Order: sequence, then structure tokens, then C-alpha cells
Amino acid sequence: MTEDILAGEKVRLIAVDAERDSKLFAGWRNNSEYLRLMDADVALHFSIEKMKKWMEENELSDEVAFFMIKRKEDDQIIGEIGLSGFQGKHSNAFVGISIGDPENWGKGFGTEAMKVILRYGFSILNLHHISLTVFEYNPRGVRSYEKAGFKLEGVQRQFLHRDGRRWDMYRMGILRSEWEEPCQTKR
Amino acid sequence: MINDQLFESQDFLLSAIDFEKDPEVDSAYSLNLRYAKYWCNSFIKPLSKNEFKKKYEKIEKKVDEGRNVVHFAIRSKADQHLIGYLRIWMLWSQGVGWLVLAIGDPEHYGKAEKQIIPLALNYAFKELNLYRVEYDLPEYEGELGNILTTNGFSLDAVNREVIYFDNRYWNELLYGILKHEWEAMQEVKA
Repeated sequence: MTEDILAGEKVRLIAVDAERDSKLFAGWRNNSEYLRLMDADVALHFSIEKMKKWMEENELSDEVAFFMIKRKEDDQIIGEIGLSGFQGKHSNAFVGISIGDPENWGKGFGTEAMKVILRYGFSILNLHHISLTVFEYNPRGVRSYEKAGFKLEGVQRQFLHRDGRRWDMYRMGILRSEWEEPCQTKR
Repeated sequence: MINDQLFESQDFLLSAIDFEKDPEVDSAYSLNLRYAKYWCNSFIKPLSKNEFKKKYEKIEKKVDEGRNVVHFAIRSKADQHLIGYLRIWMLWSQGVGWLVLAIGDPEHYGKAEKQIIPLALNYAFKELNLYRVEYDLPEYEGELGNILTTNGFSLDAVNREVIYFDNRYWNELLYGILKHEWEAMQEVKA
């Protein structure tokens, strides 16, 4: 394991602190050359209050990952760096499925829908693994998921309490590499 | 007799969040992304003091309104210093709970887990009245796996390569313990 992922030899990336860093930004922005190097937008001042408000709006954001750059030799904050415009990359997702009318149960609709969503998850969303849970009293589900390519990954023993007794819950999963081999279904 | 000290181990305390002092300590711990991961839902990154305050407000609101999670700040008994948190999520209808234990202070790695896991189980089975307790452990936190099995957990499932961290995929190890298994261990100890 890499212990200190955010540290280099000379600098370390730290969290943005709106209170502290709004003052720094407001200061840096007094230099028009700085503004014209970093942004295509019109070179302009903003008040500390405005910068602080903007930074607070980005706190805990799911859309941007901004950091301040701290110089290691004297702990001075010397700039900022960040990622935005994310085009998602997720490693795992849970899939859930149901076929409403019992008339349509046991006819392969669910299995086929599952194969289609696996294709979507792996070939469009770039997932690495897809998970599901299924209850002990649903053997039809288990068979269907096995047919779609899922493997049993374990048993959450006595997870459920229904009708006065405990039941197991099975954990199943499929890796992208397993899907790529035999499960490439015909369209 | 109701005389158990639910919130105390030999060296640690389970306590409330301190909105004044904790944000600075947590913010410093979160420079270690292994710890930050316990606080971040999407991007794993260090959080500022203000971001921690917002996180605390959120979890307190959930504890109060949702009634399906409890959250404790873990402190060193000697000086009340924050060292991490313990959280227990509950699915009441099935009597199932999940533990999450995040230790930020490197000085207490290992020792804190050894003392907090038994305390968490005691609380889960005797106060929350759960039937089954789970722990979803990223494989890179493997040392905690030994502490879980020592405390009676079994490895119930291996969710293969579902976690991406530090340039590779890791398994998630799903540990579980049932009430009667825990009770049997208490009798052996007594």
C-alpha cells in the first residue's frame, strides 16, 4: 500500500479550507498575469466573501475534487489544483430485478434482461464487477442469475427473519473478465 | 443487572461528537486517504474543518431522524483526544446491523480495534438487540480480519474485486456473527 498518496517530494495536496484559502485566492487574483494564465474568463477581482461563498458551495461536492498545494519545506500554501468534468468510473454496482406478473415468471425474461444489463454495465459504464443478493427461498432467482453468468460469492447466514424463522441471503457476483469470455450474448 | 459500562474499554471511550475540537483533528487525519475513505461517499479526499462540521451535522441528523444508525466518536480515555469513529447501521426488520470502524490516529492502530470491536458487539447484541452483525472489510485492511475472527466473526462472503484503491482492485471480505455465536463466546470467557 502507498501510505501517503497525496504527498510528493516538495509539495503535498491538502483540503481546501474556505476560511483560510479565500483570502489567499483574493490576494493572488490581484495579479492580472496570474488571472490571464489560469482562466479564459475575463480577468476580474472577486471579494474574499464571494470567493469564500463559492468555496463553501463546493464543499463535499460530488462533481469536483479540488486541493490546495502546500510547500513541504515551510508549510506555505502556494497554489491550487483540481479535477472536474468527470466522466464517471465506477468499479462495482448492485443490480436488482423483478418481473411483475407471475404469468411471466420462469420464462427466461429475467435471465435475458439480466444479460442485457450486464452488457450495458460492462460495455458502456465500464464497471469491473456487478453484485446482487438473493434470498434462500428464491431458487428460481439463483438459477436465473447463474445462467446469466453470476457466481456464488458467499452466504450472509440467517440474514432474514420472515414467517417466524431465519433465512440465508446469498451474495452473487460477476467480474468483467468472466462476462467477456462466455457471456457475450447474441443480440 | 444493568451495570455494564457500554461506552468504555480499558483505554478508550465511545462518546458524542465535539463540534469545537474534533473538526481540526479529523481534518488532519483525513490527509491519510485510508481514513478519508470512511468519510467520503464519492471522491476520496482530505476534508477541511468546515467539511467535517457539515459531515457531523449530517450524521447527527441521520441518527436523530432515521433511527437506523448510531455514531460514536472514539476518544482516548487518558486525554479525551479523538482517535476515530464507530458507526452501526441497522436494518431493524431483520435484526441485522453493520459495523464501521475508522481509526485515524496511527498511535492507536491495532490496539483501538482490539478494544472497540468487543465493545461494539456488546452494544449491538445487548442494547440494540440485533440478531446478526456484519462487517464489510476492504481486503487492504486485512489486519482487522484477524481481530474480527478472534471475536467470533466468520468470513461469510468474498465480494471479488469490488473496491478500487491505490492502483488496484481489492476484494471486500464480508464477516458475520450471530447472537448465539457471540453468547457462546461470552460463556467461554466467563
